[in-house]
Amino acid sequence: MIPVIGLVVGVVLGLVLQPTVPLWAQPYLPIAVIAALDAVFGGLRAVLDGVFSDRVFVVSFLSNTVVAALIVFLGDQLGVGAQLSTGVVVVLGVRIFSNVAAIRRLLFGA
Amino acid sequence: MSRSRSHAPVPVGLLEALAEPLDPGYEAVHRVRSTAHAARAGSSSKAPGESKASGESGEGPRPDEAGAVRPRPRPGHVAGSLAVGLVIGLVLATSGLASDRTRSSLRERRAALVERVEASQADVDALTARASALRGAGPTAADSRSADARLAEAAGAVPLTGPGLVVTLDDAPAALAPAPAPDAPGAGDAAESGRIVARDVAQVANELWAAGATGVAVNGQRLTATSSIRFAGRAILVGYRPLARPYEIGAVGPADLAARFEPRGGVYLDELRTAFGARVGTAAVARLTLPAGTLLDLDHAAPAPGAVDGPEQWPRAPASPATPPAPSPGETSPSRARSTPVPTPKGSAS
Repeated sequence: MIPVIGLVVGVVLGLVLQPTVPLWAQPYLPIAVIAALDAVFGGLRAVLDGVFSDRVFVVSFLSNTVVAALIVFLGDQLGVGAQLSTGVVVVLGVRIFSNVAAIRRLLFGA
Repeated sequence: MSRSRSHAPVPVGLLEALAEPLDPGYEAVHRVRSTAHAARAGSSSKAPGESKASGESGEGPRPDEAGAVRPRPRPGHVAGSLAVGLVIGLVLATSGLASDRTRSSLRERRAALVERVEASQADVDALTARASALRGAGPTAADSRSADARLAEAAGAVPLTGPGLVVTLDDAPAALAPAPAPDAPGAGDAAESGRIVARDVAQVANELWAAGATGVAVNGQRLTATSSIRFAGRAILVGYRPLARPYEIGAVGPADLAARFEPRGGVYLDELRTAFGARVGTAAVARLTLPAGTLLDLDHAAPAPGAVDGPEQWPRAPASPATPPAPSPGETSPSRARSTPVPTPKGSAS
C-alpha cells in the first residue's frame, strides 16, 4: 500500500512541478521508465502471489536501475549506448510482459 | 500461494528472464518467512496477500511477536518503499510530459510547414494563372510592328523627329584667315589649333549619345551603328562623305537632352571656345527632324523565298537616298560607299 501511495504522490508531483530532463540524462530516460515499470509490475505480481516484501522491492528496483544505467553509461562511452539501452529495454520489457501475463492468470485464471 | 510457480529451472539469459520474471528475492524472502512461521506456529496456511509490507521475516524472526500473523512494518522500510514509489511515479510523469512536449512542438512545426506549403501552393497557382494569361496574350502583330519601328529608329533607318539639341562648331576666326596659305611658315600652330577636327566632332557626338540622344546627325548625315567620323587631311568625313564648316550636330532625345549634355559636353565646348577660340553654340530645338541613315544595305542577309513583304518603310532603293533637310553646300553627288564600314570609336552610351 505504501508504494502505491508513493507512486501516486510521485505522479502528482511530476505533473505539478513539470521537471525538464537535463540533456545529459536524456539517454537514461527510457531505461528509467522501463525499470520503473518493471518494478511496478513485479511488485504487483508479488503482491498477488502473496510474497511481496518491501525490502526486495526497494533493493531490486535500485539495483536494476543502477545496473541498467551503468550499462547505458558504458555503452555511451563506447559509442554503442543506443544498442545497449535497446538490450536493457528488451530484457526488462520481456520481464514486464511475463509479469503482466502472470498477473492476468492470477486475476482471471486464464 | 505459490500457484503457477511450477516452472522447471530454465537455462540462462533472456530465457531465464522469461521463465522467472519475478525477482527471485521475493521468493527467497517469502520462503524464509513461511518456514519461520511454520516453525513458530505450526500453521503454514497463511492467506495470500497478507504478507505485504512485512520485512521482519527477512531480518529474522522476533520472539516477542511469535503468534502474530501480520507483522508490523518497520519505519525504515516504509520510507524506502515510499521513496521508490515516489521515484517511479516521478519518472513516469516526467517521461510522459517530455514526450507530450515533444509531440506538441512537432505539431507546431508541422503546422508551420503546412502553412508554408499552402502559401507556396498559392504562389504556384497565381504564377501558373499569370503564365497562362501571358501565354494567351502573346506578342501581336501590332507589337512586332512597333518593335520594328523602334529598331528602325535606333538603327537610323527612318527619319527621326522630336525635341532635340543642335550643337554648332566652327573654326576659330584665326584659322580662317590663313587658310589659303597652309604652308606659310609661322602661320602654323595658332591657325591649326583653332580648327575643328574630326575628333572634336566625334567627341561632341559621343557626349550627345551619352546624354541620352536617340539619334544624332552631323550636317544632315545620320549617324548609325556603322557610321564613322574620320579625317582626311583637313577634311572631316562622316560616313565617307566630307563635311564643310560650320558643323551642325543635331541630336534628338529626351526633352532634357540639353541639360543632360551640359555637364560634360558643355564643358568640352567651353574648352574649345576658351582654349582654341573655336566658335561653338548650342540651341535646344523643340522639334528637330533627323534624316534617315544611308549606309543600310544588307551584305549577307537576303529575304526568304516565301517572304510576303519586308518592312515597307525601309529605304531599300539605293537610288533614292533620304534627303537631308539641310544639304551641305558642295555635296552634289554623294557617293554611297558600299564597302564594309570601318569601325568607329563612336560611343553608344555612357
